Amino acid sequence: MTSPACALTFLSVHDVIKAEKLALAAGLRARLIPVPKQISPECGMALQIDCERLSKIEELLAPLQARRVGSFRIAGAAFEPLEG
Amino acid sequence: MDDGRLYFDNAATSFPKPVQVYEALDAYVRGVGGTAGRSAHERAQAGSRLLFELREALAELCGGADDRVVLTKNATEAINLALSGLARPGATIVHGPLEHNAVMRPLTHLAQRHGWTTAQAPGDALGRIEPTALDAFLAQTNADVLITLYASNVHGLAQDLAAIGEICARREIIFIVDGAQGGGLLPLDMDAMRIDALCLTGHKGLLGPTGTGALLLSERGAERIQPLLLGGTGSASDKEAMPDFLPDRLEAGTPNTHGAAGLLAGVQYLLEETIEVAARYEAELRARMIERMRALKGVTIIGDAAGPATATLGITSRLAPSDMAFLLSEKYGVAVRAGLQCAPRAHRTLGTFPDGTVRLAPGLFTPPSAVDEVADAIGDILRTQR
Repeated sequence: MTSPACALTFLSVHDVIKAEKLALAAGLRARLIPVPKQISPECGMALQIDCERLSKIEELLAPLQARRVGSFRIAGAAFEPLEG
Repeated sequence: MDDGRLYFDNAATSFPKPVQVYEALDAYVRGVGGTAGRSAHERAQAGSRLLFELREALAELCGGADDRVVLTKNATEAINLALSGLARPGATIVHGPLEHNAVMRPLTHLAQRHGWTTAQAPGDALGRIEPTALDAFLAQTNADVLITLYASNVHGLAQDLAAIGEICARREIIFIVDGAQGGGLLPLDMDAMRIDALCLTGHKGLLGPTGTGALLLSERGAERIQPLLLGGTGSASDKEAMPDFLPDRLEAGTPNTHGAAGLLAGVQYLLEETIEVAARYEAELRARMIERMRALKGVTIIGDAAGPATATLGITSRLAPSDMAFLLSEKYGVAVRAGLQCAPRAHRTLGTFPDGTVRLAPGLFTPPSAVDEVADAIGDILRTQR
């Protein structure tokens, strides 16, 4: 059984690519995906990760904390905001 | 066209480039094609990743942080952005004695528009800023911003950026560097040199194509700077004001993505070969040129001095620089640049205004034997032309 997918959004394209690089360098699964406009009008891309690795990713992305916009659980085509 | 071995105009634009640059340009235009930061499909992602990698590579080469690397079309745009975005109305701006018109023209125009006062820093006979004299000068001028080039496009000698940067930091003066000459060819560390705004062009020492450049900002510079161009960024599209985060805040309009591919290949080449190797080779070429020019009767060298420098050198003779350049091109296939090289301020400082000089600027791919061929050609011309 695979972990459900989560998505993190950032201010800029530069940030989301940096986040992907940090995640991949730490051996975590991550990929860039398009996001619906209602979720983020910012850079149009989000970082998709396994929800079960969210806390690990959060720790890894601490240097980018100020550039984070939102965290979501992906349910089909819907993006549900995560608490906190 | 020949293979470029007698192309001595690398201070204008470097040629040839590393083969990787040609391949990267072709691969991007032919194989990728997406525009960076505007969409999330595979080709756009490839373009976005490319710009990300270029910012990382420039920060690795020059110091600073990758998210404070702003891509521009050349050093001139970077200088305009730095000057107009960092200096406040009524500011006092100090410039070096050797500045190119890429600095002097925006400075002249913007000084009138914004009520700036401008002043020239003290230098030696070759226009190199003397740190002790500069410190004393700044104590009298209440300067807000200091701008200087790294290496001269007229004679190749470099300014002591570390010493100047230390003085600016101590006096809380914004320090802007025009790195069009010297960038990629001489060591640069904007953190260690306390540079607030480093203006680079991509097509000279960085070995990329024309139409590329960058502005690297310090933390202080990034907080203070205002945009020069306003428009679409692909981000914050629901707002009609510019985004408040870098690099988007300073990068309006579709970026030159294929140019960035070529520039990234050039910067990666330098990172692999190392700046130290590039600087050493430039110094070898310069020493060889000086040795050969000293042996030629009737040639005066502009820039014959020790110290960090690129392989760019100026000469004068009894022939007008334009005549010498014409004969070198027509009879010997040698490409040089004659005249004022867009730097009347520098030539006034050096006493070579208004005729200028013949500029000899071999590059990283110039074989040492080509220096001898060019020296022989100049010697032949001076012997045979009456």
